[in-house]
Amino acid sequence: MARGNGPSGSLVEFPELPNLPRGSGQGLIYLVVAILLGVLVFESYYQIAPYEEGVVLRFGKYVGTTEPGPHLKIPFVDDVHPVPVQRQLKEEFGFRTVEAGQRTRYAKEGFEDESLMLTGDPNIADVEWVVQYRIEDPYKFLFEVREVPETIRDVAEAEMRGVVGDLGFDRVIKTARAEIEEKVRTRMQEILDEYGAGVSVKLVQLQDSHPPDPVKDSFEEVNRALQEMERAINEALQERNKIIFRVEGEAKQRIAEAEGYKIERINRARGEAERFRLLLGEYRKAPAVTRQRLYLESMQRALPQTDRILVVDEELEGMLPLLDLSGRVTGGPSPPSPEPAAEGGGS
Amino acid sequence: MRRFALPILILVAVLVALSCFFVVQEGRTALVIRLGKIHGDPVGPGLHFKLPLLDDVREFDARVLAWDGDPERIPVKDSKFIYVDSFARWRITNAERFYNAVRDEQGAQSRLDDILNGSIRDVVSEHFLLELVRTTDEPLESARIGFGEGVPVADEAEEAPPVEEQVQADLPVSSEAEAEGQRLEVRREIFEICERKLEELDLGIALVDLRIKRIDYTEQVEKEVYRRMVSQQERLAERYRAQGEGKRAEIAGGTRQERQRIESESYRRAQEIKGEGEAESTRIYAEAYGADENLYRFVKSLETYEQILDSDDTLILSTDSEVLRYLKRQQ
Repeated sequence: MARGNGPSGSLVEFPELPNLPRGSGQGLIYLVVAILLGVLVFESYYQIAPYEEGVVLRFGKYVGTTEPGPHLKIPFVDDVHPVPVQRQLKEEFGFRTVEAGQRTRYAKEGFEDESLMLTGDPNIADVEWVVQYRIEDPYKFLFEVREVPETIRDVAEAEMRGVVGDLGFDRVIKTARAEIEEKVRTRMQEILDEYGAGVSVKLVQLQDSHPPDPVKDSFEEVNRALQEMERAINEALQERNKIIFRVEGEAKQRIAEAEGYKIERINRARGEAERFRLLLGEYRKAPAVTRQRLYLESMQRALPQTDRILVVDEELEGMLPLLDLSGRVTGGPSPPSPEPAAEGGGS
Repeated sequence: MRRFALPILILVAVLVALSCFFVVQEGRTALVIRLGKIHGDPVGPGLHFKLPLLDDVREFDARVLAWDGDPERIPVKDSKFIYVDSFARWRITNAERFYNAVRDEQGAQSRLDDILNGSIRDVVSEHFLLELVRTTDEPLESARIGFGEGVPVADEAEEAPPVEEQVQADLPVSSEAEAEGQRLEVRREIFEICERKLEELDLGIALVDLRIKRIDYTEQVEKEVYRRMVSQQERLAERYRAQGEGKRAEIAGGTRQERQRIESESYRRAQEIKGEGEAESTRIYAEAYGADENLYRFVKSLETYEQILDSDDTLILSTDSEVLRYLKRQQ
C-alpha cells in the first residue's frame, strides 16, 4: 500500500552554472548556493496523479488534502502523502493472482488455510473470495489505523467464517452465495467504520466455493448418481410414452370397430325390418298362396344343396336299418370313406 | 580559516536551533523525557519545543494497532481439540502509562499475547464447537448435500429420511450438535474479559476489537470429518441410484396400470357400443316382426333351412312332408 513516499519527482534541471574561475573559493560558494536553490525548487513542487489525493502535513500536522495536479508546498516543512483514492483496491483470499491478463493465472496451492472453513453442519468447505475496497477518507486511512490492508484481511476472514459457520454446507456451496457476499460486506464495513479505517468495502465476491479436495470425488460421485437417476427416470418415461401411445391407439381402434359393428347391426336390422314389412304388406293380400309359394321356393333352393335325400314313406317305422346302410351318417370326423354305391333312393 | 568562521558559526547556530524543536507526525504522540523524568503531557502532531541534550523524545503510534495471535490448540467442551486463530486491534490511550508499564510496542505485544491468548483459551474451552462456529440457532435450511436442483424427485425426497438427521446421527460431536450458536456472545465475552484485565493492569492500552479469525479442526478431527463427509456422500449417491431405480419401477408399474386401464376401458366402451347396436337392432326387429309373428317365424325358418342344409347333410324326407306330398298322390 502506498504510504507517502514524497513527491513523484521528475529530475530537476539545475540552472546552468556560469563559467567560474577555477579553484576560487567564491566559485565553490556559488556552486553550493546553486545546489541549495535547486533542492529548494525541487522541494517546493509536487504533483498528484489523477487517481490520487494528496494529504499535506505541515510540521507533521495535517493541514489539508489536495486534488490531482501540480502543487506548491513549503520546502522541508510540508510533507505530502499521495493516497490512491480512486483505485479499486483488492485483497484475495484462498488464492492469489499470479499474472493478470486476458488469461489470468492464479495460484491456489498453499492458501488452504485461508479458504478451508467450518460450516454449521459442521462440515468443511473450501471457499475462495475477493474483497474490493476504496479509500474514502485518506486522512483516516493514513492516521487512524495502521496497516489497513492487513486489517481488512483479518476482518474479512473473521466475518466470512462467521457467516459461513452459520449456514449449512450445501447452502454455502450452492444457494446462499449472494446472501453470504452481502452479509460479509455489510459486517466488514461496520467493523472497519468502528476502527475508523477510512475505507469503503465495495464488493465481496465469492470466487469458488466447493468441497475440499479430499472429498471432491465423493461429491462428483453424487452428481453422477443424480444423472443416473435422471436417466433411469427418463428411460422409464420414454418407455411409458411408447407403450401408452400404442395402447391408446389400439383402444381407439377397438372402439371404432365397435361403432362399426353397431352401425352394421342397426342397418341390417333396419333393412331386414323394412324387407319384412314390405313382404307382410303383400302377404296380407293373399296369405295362403304366398305362404305356399315362399315355402316351396325355399325348398327349391335348399334341397339341391344336400348330397343325398332319402325319401321314406310316411308309414315306415324305425329308421335304424336304413341308417345302417349309410357309411356317412355315423361318420363323424372319420376320414372320408369310399363313396357308397347307394346313391339315393331316388331324387 | 577566518573566512570560514562565519559560515561555520551559522551552521552551528542552525543545528542548535533545530535541536530545540521536534516534529510529531500525524497519527503519533510523543513524550518528552527530561533527565529521565516524564515532562508534561504527551504532545500530538505538530512542531514542538524541547531542550537540547536534556530532553529525550519518545514517540508512540496513536493509531489502531494490530495484534495477531498464533493459532492456539484449545480443547472445546466436546472434548476435542481445535485450532483457534484470533486477531485484535488496540491502541495506546495513555502514552505515559504505556511507557512506564511496557516501554514500547514490542513490550505491549508480549503482554497482550499473555492476556488475550489466556482469555481466549478460557472462554473457548467453556463452549461446544458448534456454539463457536454458529452465530444463530436457526436450523440449517438445507443439509441435503449435493442435492441438485430441478430433479423431479422433490416428493420422494420428502419421504426419505432427511439427510440432516443422518448427519446429526453421524456427528462426532454427539448430542451437543444442537447447541445454540453463540459466536457473537463468545466474542463479546472474550472482549469484555480482556478489556477488564487491561483496565485493571493499567497499561495505557485500550482494546478496540478482538475476534476469532479462524477455527480449524486439528488434523485428527479433520480426517474424521472428511471421512464422514465422504460416507455421507456415498450414501447419498446410493440413495439417488436406488431412487432412480425405484422411480423407474414406479413409472413402469404406472405404465402397466395405465395400459390396463386404457385397454379395459376401451373394451368396456366397445361392449357398450355393441350392446347399443344390438339393443337398437332388437328394437327394430321386434317392432317390425311383431306385426306378424307367424309370418316371421315361417320366413325365418325357411331362411334357416336354406342355410343349414349343405352337401354334407343327408336329408331324410317323409312322403308326408309338404314338399313331397305330391310325390305320393296328387291330391
